Amino acid sequence: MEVQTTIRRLCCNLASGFQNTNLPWMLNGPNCMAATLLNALPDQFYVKDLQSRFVFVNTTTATYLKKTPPEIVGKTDIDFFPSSLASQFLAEEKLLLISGQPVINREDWWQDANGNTHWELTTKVALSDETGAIIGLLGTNRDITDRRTAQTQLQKLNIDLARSQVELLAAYDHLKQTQAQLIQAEKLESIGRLAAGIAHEVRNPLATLLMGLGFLKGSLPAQQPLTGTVLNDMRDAVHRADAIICELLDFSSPRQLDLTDEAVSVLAERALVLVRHELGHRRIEIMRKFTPDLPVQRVDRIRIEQVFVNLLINAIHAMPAGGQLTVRTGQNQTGAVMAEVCDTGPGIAPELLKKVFEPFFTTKKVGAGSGMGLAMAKTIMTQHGGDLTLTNQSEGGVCARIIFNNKKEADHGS
Amino acid sequence: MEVRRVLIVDDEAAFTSLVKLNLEKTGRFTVCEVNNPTKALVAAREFKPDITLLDVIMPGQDGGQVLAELRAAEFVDLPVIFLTATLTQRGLHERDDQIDGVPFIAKPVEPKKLINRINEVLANS
Repeated sequence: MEVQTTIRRLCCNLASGFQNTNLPWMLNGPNCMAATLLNALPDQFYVKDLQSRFVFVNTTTATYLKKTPPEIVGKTDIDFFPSSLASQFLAEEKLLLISGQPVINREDWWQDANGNTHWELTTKVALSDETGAIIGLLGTNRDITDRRTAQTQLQKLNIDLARSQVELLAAYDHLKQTQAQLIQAEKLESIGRLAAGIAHEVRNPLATLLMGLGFLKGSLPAQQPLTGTVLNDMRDAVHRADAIICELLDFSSPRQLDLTDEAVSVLAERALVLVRHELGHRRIEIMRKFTPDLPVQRVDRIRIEQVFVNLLINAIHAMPAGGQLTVRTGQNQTGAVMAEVCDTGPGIAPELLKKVFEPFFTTKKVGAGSGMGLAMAKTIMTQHGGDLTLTNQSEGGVCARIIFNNKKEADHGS
Repeated sequence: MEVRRVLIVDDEAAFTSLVKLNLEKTGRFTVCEVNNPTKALVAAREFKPDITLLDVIMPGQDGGQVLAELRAAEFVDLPVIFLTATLTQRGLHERDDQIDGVPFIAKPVEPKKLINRINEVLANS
């Protein structure tokens, strides 16, 4: 048994490393100290002959295979592993025994009869005699199933963590958005409370003024045209003050929507008629780009006309020296009906774009606008389940886009 | 032409006196002013109005309560127009210029518009 001789020599060679340690007893007995040492290893250690039969197995290997060393020695992997796996091991060992090419730290896995997966770190090297001829192989396997399981779990946890992070960020964004909406809602509620109080306290004196002006105008002798003009100016001022409060009231207490089926292009056209007087002498060219046969929308006609009027007036005021006013209707990529009112004015400074929907925000001079138009238009669109957005166009000017809620339309149609 | 009797109940004395001046100047109305809403019923019984202009928000008793009191007494069919500073015409539906079936006018209002509305309501009553 050349292999056994070689093993014993190998063991003694290993043991010779301990000669200087004053532990001669370790070399005594039929099992040399090296065999004791190998049995104490936490890793599997085995020696096989040229037919891949086990010649020596340490205790860890025996425990792993749930056998005693004598039950293992003389047998091959075929007796312990699933046949396909054992064949693979044998083929690989055959190659090693011919070529001497070692297998170093390779991670293998296999499944036992119970379906449990085992991971091993395998190293196999050729065993040679004094002449250099290969007489067998030495192998060591480390059970890394726990490490691999932990690794897999860690990977899974990492994926979960990344997902949680994404969710957390989304939740944070949502929270920020909700907070902004809450602040806005609270602002609007305050304005609502304020509006009713202001209306009562301001419009009553305005009523007295208007009645007084009416009386004075009627009592005026015909030869005092200047006084008449003064009274008219005063009357206009009362109406202007009243108009601001009316807008505030309408904004703060939006009435219930009176929904009917309407064609958006028709509403846009009606609004264009309503703002005719605003065009005045301005050299503004109106471009109508209406898409025919759009699905009808279930909307409050008067409120949507009001949205168009507010957007058109803003666009007209943005072009005092003239320009092009484009009114477009159509559908976006999701099929939602939308409309755009675009001007060729100077556009809106980017830092102001966020503020344009705030009540009373205006860039117009005193008396030219209350700053309620866009706030109200946005509120009306939100009430309809749609939206209003404002963007600066790359070619200059502002484009206001309203989108209707196509879901509502679909529900209505079904 | 028959002179119509208008009772105006509003806590703003300056307003009611100017309404009175404007209406009576036409020669077609005679106006009784009441600035304390709790005295509206007594004044109505004494004045016997053809129509009543009723402010909505007043201290002590609001326009709705005054109307209920009038309706519970002998003024079941008395034409009434609410005057209010807290509603806008646009706030209600375009075709709807009534609050709970009662015609209303938003303050401030031009004298001419007020007179037209009074005539309209009287003609329909």
